[in-house]
Amino acid sequence: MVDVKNIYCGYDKKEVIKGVFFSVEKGNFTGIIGPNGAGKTTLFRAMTGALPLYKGTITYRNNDISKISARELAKDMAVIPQIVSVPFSFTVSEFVFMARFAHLGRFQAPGKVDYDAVDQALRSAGVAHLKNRDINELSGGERQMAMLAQGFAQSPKILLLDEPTAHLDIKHQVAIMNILEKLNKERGLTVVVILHDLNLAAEYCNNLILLNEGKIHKKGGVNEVLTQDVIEEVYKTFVAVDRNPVSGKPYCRIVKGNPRVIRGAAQQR
Amino acid sequence: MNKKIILLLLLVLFLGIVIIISLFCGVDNSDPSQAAVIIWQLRLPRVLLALLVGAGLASAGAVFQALLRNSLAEPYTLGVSSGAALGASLGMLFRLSSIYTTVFAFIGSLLTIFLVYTIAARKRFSNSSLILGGVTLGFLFSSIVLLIIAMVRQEGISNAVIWLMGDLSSASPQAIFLTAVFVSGGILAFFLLGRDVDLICLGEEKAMHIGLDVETIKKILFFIASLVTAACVSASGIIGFVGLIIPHIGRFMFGPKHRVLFIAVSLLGAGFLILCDTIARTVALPLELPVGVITGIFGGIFFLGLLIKAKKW
Repeated sequence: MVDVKNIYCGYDKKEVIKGVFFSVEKGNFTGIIGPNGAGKTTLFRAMTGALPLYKGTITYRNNDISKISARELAKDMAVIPQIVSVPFSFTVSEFVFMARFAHLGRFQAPGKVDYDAVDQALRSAGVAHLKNRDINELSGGERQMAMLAQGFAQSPKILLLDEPTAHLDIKHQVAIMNILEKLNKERGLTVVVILHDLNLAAEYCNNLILLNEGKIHKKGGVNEVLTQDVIEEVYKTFVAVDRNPVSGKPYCRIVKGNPRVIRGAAQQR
Repeated sequence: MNKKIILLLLLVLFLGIVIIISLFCGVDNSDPSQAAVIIWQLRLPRVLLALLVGAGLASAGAVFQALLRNSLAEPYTLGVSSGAALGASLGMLFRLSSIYTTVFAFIGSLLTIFLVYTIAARKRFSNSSLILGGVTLGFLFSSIVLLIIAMVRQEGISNAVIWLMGDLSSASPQAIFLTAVFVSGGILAFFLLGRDVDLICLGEEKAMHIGLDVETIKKILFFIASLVTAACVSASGIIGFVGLIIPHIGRFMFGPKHRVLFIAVSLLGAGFLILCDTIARTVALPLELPVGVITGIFGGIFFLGLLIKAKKW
């Protein structure tokens, strides 16, 4: 669905992404992980068409993304950035309704399709009860849910999210990931999500792309990517990887102290 | 939704009442034949100009606040008024008649719009390039205006000072025509672009992801809002407060959705300026006060009261 072919991009001559290849197939749930400064958000912005490339191409359904108009792309692709700041007091339902923009002609009044899409989005994200509240008066978790609802209301085929669980408690983290998984399974929504939490990524994603210093260090299924050696090499941090007792997915345990000492201790054991 | 329509109708009623009060308020004239002349030939043009300028400045202010995503923005933020002032004061320096003041002011503001556009277009029309370019140019032109006033100690220049404070008394048919064309065209365009303006509020990248061609829309909005401002300022001088505070009152009453907001602030701005102009020419008879001072004093006191009492902000 999205093919990233040998791209180089960055800011003001500073190359951040250096030769990245990968494909996102329809219906995939792909996680992008990697240390701070690895280039996750830069890669993400390139995939949304917001950041011009120095070299290489990104295609959506075999069309060069830089040649698709914002309006056409928005009909298929919804993007949820880390932060959206809103200077005025829009209500949650007004905020979510804005997502219908690309589906409406300039002189066209919104119809039943649009109202239904918004209602369904509000319900899917569990914020229907907040719809008359001021978007700027919500808690961090509620606000993130409203942003998610805005993304759903766009009726996308593919959803790109930049760290949707950052700064949230585990209730909201799990709620967000459960909603994404549900839409992915039930409606075939393709999901690409940047995650910092390796265990959250292991639990929900079926494909992982591990980015380090602007390049793909490893990509594949969660069991291939999330191994002790790979994580230690990229994050320079010792972790003990075992299995989540319920799901059987890899689980990274953090160990306190100096990495070299604990590594020695672990090997002695 | 119905509540908003009722509120809008009340605003229309408010505007109507204000117009009638303004037409029949002023120096008492016992001679009925003269009264008709005063009402139709002196007061009506003035009321019309106040209506257009009030609506134009308020709606352009709402656009600039959304465009720059800054609730302190107003129609004069990007230097359009200073360019107009420079043109107007040059016109007065050469002792040209008032219609030329309008023409010169308009040319000055068009020049400013062109310069700000050229500077910002080199930087992908970013908000910081617009604000820095506009504010700096505005400062530059204002300084030149002050330089002219300081150096030329002739009688005609006191007209320039009055003009700088905003003045609706010289409502010529040409000036009314100019503002009528730009303000009505502008408000119609703002209304049609209302959903685009809503999206701009979310920031450029998010707006793009929802499907907006951000740079093009920003350029269009900048041009139209600046032209509306240029026409208003050229016809009536620099009337402050309307373009800054009326959009806030509009959002307080109607929320921030821009289609409704543009209609609301146009009605509010028009009514407010007509009211202020009526006060300006009647409160200190036989003296006539500059309307820009009245908008600041009465508007300021009213808004401070609202700010203190309201739960918002």
